[in-house]
Amino acid sequence: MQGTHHMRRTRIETGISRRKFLGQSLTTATAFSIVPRHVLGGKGHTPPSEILTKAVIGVGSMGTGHLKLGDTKLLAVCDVDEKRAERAAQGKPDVKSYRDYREILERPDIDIVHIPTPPHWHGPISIAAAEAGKDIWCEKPMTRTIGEGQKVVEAVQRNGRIFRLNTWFRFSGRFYGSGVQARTVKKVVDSGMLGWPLKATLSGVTGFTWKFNWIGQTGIKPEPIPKELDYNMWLGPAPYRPYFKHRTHSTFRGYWDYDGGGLGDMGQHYLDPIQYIMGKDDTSPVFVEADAPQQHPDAVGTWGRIVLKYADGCEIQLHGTDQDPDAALLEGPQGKIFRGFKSDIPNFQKKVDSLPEVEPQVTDFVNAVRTRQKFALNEENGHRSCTLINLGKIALRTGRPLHFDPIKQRFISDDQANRLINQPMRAPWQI
Amino acid sequence: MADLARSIRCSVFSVVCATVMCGSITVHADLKELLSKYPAKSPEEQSKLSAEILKRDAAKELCTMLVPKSVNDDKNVRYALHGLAWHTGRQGAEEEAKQYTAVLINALQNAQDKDVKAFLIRQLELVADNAAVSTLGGYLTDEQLCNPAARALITIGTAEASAELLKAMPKTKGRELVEIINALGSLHVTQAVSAIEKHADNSDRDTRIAAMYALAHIGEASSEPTLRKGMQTEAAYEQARVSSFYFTYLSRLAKNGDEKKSEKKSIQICRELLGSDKPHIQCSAISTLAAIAGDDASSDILAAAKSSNSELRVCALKLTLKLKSSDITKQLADSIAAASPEQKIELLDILAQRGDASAMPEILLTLKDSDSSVRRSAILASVKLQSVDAVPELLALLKNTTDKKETELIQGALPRIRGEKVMALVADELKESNAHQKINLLSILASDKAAAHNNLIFDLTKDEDSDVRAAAIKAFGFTAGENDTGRLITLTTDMTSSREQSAVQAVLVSVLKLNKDNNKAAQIILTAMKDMPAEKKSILVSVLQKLGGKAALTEIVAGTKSSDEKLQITCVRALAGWSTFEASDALLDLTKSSDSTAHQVLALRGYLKLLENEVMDSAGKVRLYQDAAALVKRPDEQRMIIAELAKLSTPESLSIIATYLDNDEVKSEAALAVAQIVMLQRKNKQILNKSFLPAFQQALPLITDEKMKSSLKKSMKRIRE
Repeated sequence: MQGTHHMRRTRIETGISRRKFLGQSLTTATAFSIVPRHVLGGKGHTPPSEILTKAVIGVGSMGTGHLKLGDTKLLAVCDVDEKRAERAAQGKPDVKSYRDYREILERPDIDIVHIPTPPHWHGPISIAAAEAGKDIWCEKPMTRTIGEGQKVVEAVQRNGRIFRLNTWFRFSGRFYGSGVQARTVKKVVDSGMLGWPLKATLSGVTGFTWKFNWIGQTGIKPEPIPKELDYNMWLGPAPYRPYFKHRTHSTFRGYWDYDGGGLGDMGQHYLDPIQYIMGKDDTSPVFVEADAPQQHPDAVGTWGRIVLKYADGCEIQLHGTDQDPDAALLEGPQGKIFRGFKSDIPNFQKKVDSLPEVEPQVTDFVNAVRTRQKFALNEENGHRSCTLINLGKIALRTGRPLHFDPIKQRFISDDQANRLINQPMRAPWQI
Repeated sequence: MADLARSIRCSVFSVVCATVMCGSITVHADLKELLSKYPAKSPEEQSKLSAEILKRDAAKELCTMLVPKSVNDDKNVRYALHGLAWHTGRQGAEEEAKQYTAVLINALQNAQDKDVKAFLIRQLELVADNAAVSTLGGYLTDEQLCNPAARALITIGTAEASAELLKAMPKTKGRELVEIINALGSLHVTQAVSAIEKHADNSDRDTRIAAMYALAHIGEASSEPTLRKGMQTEAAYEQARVSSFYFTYLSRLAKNGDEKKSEKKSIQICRELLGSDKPHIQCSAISTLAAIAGDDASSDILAAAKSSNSELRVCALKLTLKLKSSDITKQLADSIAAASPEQKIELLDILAQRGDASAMPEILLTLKDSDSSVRRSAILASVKLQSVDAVPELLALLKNTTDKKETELIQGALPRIRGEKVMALVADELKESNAHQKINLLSILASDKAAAHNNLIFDLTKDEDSDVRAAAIKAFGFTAGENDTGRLITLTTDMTSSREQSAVQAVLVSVLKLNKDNNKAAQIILTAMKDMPAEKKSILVSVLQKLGGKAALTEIVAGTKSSDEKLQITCVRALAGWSTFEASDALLDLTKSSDSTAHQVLALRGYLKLLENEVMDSAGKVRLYQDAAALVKRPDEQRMIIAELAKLSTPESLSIIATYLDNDEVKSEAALAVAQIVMLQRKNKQILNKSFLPAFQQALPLITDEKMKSSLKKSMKRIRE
C-alpha cells in the first residue's frame, strides 16, 4: 500500500497524474545518456518505474488471456467467482485479488483497467472506469445495447480517456477467410477496383463461422448457487433470473440478458474490419432484417441470414445456417474478392501490389495511453461496429425488417424496437 | 377511414372473442396442436401463428398454461406469448396491442407464482402503454418484482408511469427504493426532486449514489448544493460517480428553467472545475463547457489545448474539431512553432482531422523539423489535407532522408495525394536524381500506375545503373499497356542480362494477358517472331509458354523439330514445362519419336508432371501411367511413376507397382509404395486380397521402417485368416 500512498501524494501535492509523471520521466530519462539503458529503459529494457499498471476485471477464460496483454504491470484482478480471482492472483505477490470491481477503481495506482467480463457488464464498468480516470481495454462485443454504447462513447470522451476494444483484425492478423490483412482489402476497396456500392458476405463459404454452439438452453430448472460465486454480482445490471449453471461462466453467451450467442461472440471480430474496409466507421446501416427461426424470450437461438444495408447501397450479409456456396467476401459492380483473396479481376494480385498503402493506424495501446492518441479501434468506431451486432440482435428478436436512423441511432417508425435500444438496469446499477 | 377500419377490426375481434369463449374446451384441444408448432421456423410463420392465436382469442388461455420454471417446461407457451408481444407491438397494430396488454394484465393479476408474474411483466415491457401503469405500480414494493415492474414503467415512459413510481417511493426501502430512485432519474421526474434529495445523505452508498444520479438527470437548479456536497465524499468510487453525475447535471441545468441564467451558472462551475487536480475532471469540465457553450467556449478550449497536462491538452484539442471557424485553424497552426515535439504531433494530428488546408503553410515548415516523429505527423497531415503544395517538400525530404521508414512513408504518401501535378513533379524530380533516388521515385510512379510517364520509365529500363534498370522494369510492369508490347518485345530480345530479360518477359506476358484471348495475344508474338533470327525467337518461346493456348502450343511443338539446335531445345524445354494437359499428346509423341535421349527424358518428365496434376478418375489415370510405364527406361522416372501410383492407392495401381519389385534399382521404392497402399487401404478387401500376398511377401524384406513393416505383416496375417 506504500505505492498507493505515494501516488496519491503525487497527485495531491503536484497536480500531476501518474501517467503524466511517467511521460515526464521518460522525456527526462532520454536526456541523460550517461545512465545505463537497463536502468532507463529502451528496447527490451523498460525500467519498472516507467511501466503502466493495470487491473483485470473478470478472469474467466477470456480474462486469463488479458493478464499478459500489453507491456504493463498487473496489480489487481477481480472476479465474482472467488476461485477464479484467487487462481489469477496465485504466485503473483504484487497482485491483489478482489470480488468487487469498484474497489479496483478506487486505487489511484492503476492506470488501465481490462474488462473481459460478460458483455452485460462492459458498459457499466467502462463508464465507471472512465469516471474514475482510468484508461480502458474492453473485451468485445463492446456493449450489449446500442444505448449503452452511446453512453460509453460519451463517458470516455468527456473524461478524456483512451479506450481500446479487444478485437484486432482491422489492424493486425489475417482477416479470416480473406487470408490477408484487412488493410490490404481496404487498399483494393479504396482504389475503386471493385466499384461501388459493395456487398460483403460473412459466411462459412467466405471463411467465417458463427459458432452456433453458443445457443441457450430452455426449460432448465433452477440449481443451487455455487458457494464461490457471488451470483447477484455476476448478474449485476441484468434482470434477476434463477441460477442455473449454463447461464454463467463460459456458456453465458446463449442468453439475451448477457450477450447474443455466436453473433455476440464473433460479430465484432468479423464486422469491425468490414466497417473499416467499407469506410463506415462513423455511421451505421439504415436497414436490418433477419431470416431466422423464432427466438426464445430468454435463450439465443440460431439464424439463417441477417442483412444490413447502408444508405449508399452498401450491404452486409451474415450467413448462418443459410449459406450461398457462390458468395464472395466482397462484391462490387466491377469485381469480386473471394475467400483466400482470390478475385475475378484480371491480374488482381499485381494490381494490388501496386496500390498505395492505406493510412497508418495507431496500434500500440500502451503507447497510445502515454501519448493520448486515439487507438485504432476505439470507443467511436467500436460502438459503430458493435451497433451492427445489436441491430442484428434486435432484428432477430422482433422478427421483422427494421429501418434505422444512423444519426439519431433510433429505429424509424418502430417504437417497440426502440424499447430495446436502452434497456433499464437492475438496481443499484445505472449508467 | 382509419378510425372506421379500427372500429370494424375491434368489433370483429370482440365477436371472435365471444364465440371462442363459448367453446373453450375445443379451443384448448386446438391450442395444443397450435403450440406444437412453436418455435416458429421463420418470421412469416411466427406472424401467422400469432395471428391465429389472436383470431382464436387464445392468448388468455395460453397465459393460464404458464408454470413456474421449477415445476415444468412450458417453453412453447412462452414462445407463443413472447411472439405475441412482438406481433402486437408492431407499427399499425395498436388495437391488437391494447387487447393483448389487457390479457397480460389480467393474467398478471391472476398468476400466483412470481417467476410467472415476472415473465408476464417482461412481456408488458415490450408491448404495454399507460393501461398497464397502475397494475405495474402495484409490484414496485415487491422485492422480486420491483425491478421488472420499474423497467416496464421506464420503458412506457409516460407522465402516468412517472407518477406511479413517485407514488410508490415512500413505501419502499433498500434495493426497491434504489430501483425507484434510478427510474425517476431516468424519466427526469421534476416532481420527485424533494423526495429524492432526502436520500442524498442516506447511510447506504447505493441509495446515495442513486439519489445523485437521479438529481443530476432531472437537473433542477435547487439540486446543485446537494450534488456539489456529494462530490466532496472521500470514498473514491462514490466521488468519481457523483463527479460524473455533476457534469451531467450541469448539462441538464443549462437546458432547464431560465435558460440564460442556468447556462451562465453551468459555465461558471465548469470553469471552476477546470482547476481540479484530477486530469479527467479537468477533461470533463472542458468537455461539458464545450457542450453547453459551443463556440462561446472557444477561448477556454484553446487555452486548455495549451495546457502542460497532456490529458487535458489532447482532450481540448479534440474539442476544437467541433469549432469550425478557420480562425481556430489559424490559432492552432500558429501555435505549432513554439510547441514541444510532443505538442507539435498532437497539433498536426488535429489539424489533419480538421481538414482545413489553410494550415498548410505551418505544416510545411514542420516537414523540415529536426524530430522525425514530428515530420512523420506532418507527412500524414499533408496527405490528409491533400496538399499538392507539400509535394516539392516531400520530394526534398525523400531526397535527403536516410531513414528507411521515412522513405517508405513518403513513398506511400505521395500516390495518396490526388492530382495530375503530383506525379508530374515526381517525374521531373526523376530527371535530376541519382541512382538511389531514381529507384525510390520509380516505386512511387509504379504505385500510382502513372501511365502518363510511361516513356520516361521505359527510357530508364536502359539506364546505365543495373538497379535503376531493375526498378524501371518493375515500374513499367505497372504502367505499361497493350500499346507497349512492340517495344517490350524489342527490349527483351535485345537484352543481354538473363535476369533482366526474364523480368521484361514477365512484364510482356502481363501486358499480353490484358487481352483475354490468349490465342490473339500469342499471335502478336508469333508475328514478331516471323522474321527474327532463331536466337531471338528462342527468347520469345518462353513468353509463348507463359501465355499458353493453342496457337502458342502449335508453334512450340513445331519448334521441337527445328533445324536450329538452340531453338529446338528451347522449344522442348517449353513444351516440357507446359502447364495444361493439352500438351500431353505432343509430349508423348516426342518421348516416342525423338532421337535425343535428353529430349525424350525432358518430354517424359513433362508428361508425368502434367498427368500428376490433371484431375481425372483414378482408373483412367492408372491406365495412362501404365502406358507411360512402357516408355520409361530410367530409374528416376520409374520412381516418379511409383510415387504417383502409390498416391492413387487402387488395386490396379498396386498391380503395376508390384511389377517393379523385381527391378533392382527401384524395388525399395516399390516395396515402400506397397506398404503405403496397404496402410492407407487397410479396410479395402480388394487390396487385402490373397492375389496380392506374393507381392506383399516380396515387399516385406525390402521395408526398413519397422512401423510399416509391422502394419504390412498384420495385414498379411488378416488375409491369411
